[in-house]
Amino acid sequence: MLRYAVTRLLGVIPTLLLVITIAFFLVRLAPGGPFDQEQALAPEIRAHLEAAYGLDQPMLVQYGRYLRGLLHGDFGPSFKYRDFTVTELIGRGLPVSLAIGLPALLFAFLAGVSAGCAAALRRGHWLDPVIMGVAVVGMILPVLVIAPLLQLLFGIELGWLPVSGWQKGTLTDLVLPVLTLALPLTAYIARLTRGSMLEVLASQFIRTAQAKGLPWSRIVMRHALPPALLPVVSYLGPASAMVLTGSLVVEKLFGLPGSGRYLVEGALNRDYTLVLGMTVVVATLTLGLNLVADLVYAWLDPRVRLGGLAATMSLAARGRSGGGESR
Amino acid sequence: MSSALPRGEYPVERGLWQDAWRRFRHRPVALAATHVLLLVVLLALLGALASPYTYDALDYSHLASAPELASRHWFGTDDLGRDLYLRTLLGLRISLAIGLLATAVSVLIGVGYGAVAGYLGGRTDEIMMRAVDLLFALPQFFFVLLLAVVFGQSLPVLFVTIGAFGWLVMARIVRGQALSLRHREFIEAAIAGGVPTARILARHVVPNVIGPVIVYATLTIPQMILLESLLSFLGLGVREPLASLGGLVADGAAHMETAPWMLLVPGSFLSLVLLCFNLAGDGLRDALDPRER
Repeated sequence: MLRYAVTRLLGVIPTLLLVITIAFFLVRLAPGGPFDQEQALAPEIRAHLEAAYGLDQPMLVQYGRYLRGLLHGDFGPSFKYRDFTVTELIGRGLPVSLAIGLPALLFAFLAGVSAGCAAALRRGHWLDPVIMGVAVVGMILPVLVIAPLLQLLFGIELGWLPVSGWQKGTLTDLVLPVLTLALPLTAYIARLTRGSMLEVLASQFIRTAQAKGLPWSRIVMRHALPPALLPVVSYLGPASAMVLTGSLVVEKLFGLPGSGRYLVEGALNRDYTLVLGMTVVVATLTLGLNLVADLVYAWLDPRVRLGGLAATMSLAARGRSGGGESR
Repeated sequence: MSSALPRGEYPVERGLWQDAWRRFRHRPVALAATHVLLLVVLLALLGALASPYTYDALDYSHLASAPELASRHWFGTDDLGRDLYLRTLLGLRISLAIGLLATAVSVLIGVGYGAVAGYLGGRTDEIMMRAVDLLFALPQFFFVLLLAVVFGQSLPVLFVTIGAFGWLVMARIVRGQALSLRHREFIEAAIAGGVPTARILARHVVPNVIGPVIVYATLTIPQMILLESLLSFLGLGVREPLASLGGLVADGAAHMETAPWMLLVPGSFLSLVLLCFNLAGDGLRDALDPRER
């Protein structure tokens, strides 16, 4: 298990490096630069600016510098927000993004698994089609439409929750954004759980457990749930990518000062270092969460937990490819 | 089993498509979704003829006015006095076009990539699919954003950048199918006959994976529409005075307190289109999926 964890951890590093490299050169290839303005700058001023930001150096030198900076946690200066480094900007926005992203992931996981299990265990009961119907609608209705409707209902009509905004992170500010972000994920996880739970419940070892006379609750919790969770766990990787994407939209909808705003503004302003820095942070986060998902997967599966490395690798790969069905 | 059938009434042999169509017809939900989609497409293409306005003309006597029949602003107007009926139809056309073309791009890339990987197999396959795994682990939306910035925001660029996002699952599906095809007799016969690899791929492998490709393509369309709506919402998609449904919803969300119809009209159309594509795709999957047979 430990060896597996270390191997996987080491595998992330070249991936991350590759992503950074691609993103770096992609951004540099973009036509137009950060100093393009309505009025053309005098060539001397432009040259000075480029020298100050190191843009006059050959591309490879810039690349080397950037990597060296990254190792120290330095993402370079922002081109548009003068007097700010990208590290400062990200340090401001990221906590807000995480404050809605992580609870949303947690909520989606807990609520989705509970709803999926409830539906699977009540097959044939009216509860099953109701839960699954809600899940289909929740999966398909776009966040763009759901969020304003929630704001209209809870914020304006009922007045229970603030419509938008951020007062130093009061909990009530977070409820609607987290719910909005979690909704499609919850729905997808519920469907995933129901499917795999039904599959597991139909398998031989569950019948054996029943034949031994174990109580039903114990069968479900100890025997059926862990294997049924495997597809859900491997979906956590793609899910985290979805949360990060969704938080861009949710932050804008609810007027939260998260990192999404910096990314979008950076993209519109051609703020190279800001966009690049955000991409690096986001890629690191996703790869990290993918890694966590793989480790939890390995831990849940006794064949991996107790078995050799070879089996482990192939299993993890299979889990990943099984989980990525949606976006 | 055979004794139950009277003489002369043995089942007629049916092709894949006839079979699929028969199944599809017996799924009322999927069939209804398809019909609604057809109606929506028809409305998007021809509906503009019924209105006296144009999508970008400003009507100063009706700023943000509610839907009413007398002024012939059937869905109301937006805050600039533009007719919302026509803007919604415009948004529908653009969103549908992006959905279809971006899906076409992702089908082209995904089928090519998957067929090559699956058919060649071995080390090539392993490396190619590892790359797909890697891309899967990343939030692709950020790369679409990056591409939208690098290559600008014109419509054709949007088709390609958004399409470049959707091919991963397609590549996996096609690769799986191609892998199972490569040792079949007719492929071996083609190899023995000296048919070049590219031709085997084009003539023998790709036509045999077309079923799952159609199913998944139908399910990709709504994803592409959704993705574009997110881009437009963030201000990185289609530009004014053109608009996609996502852009209209973003406008509407900003004015929802004073002019809720600006949100509700394009929002319902967006939801309706996404819902119908998904339902129709699910029906197609049930009708065409070989695993069901």
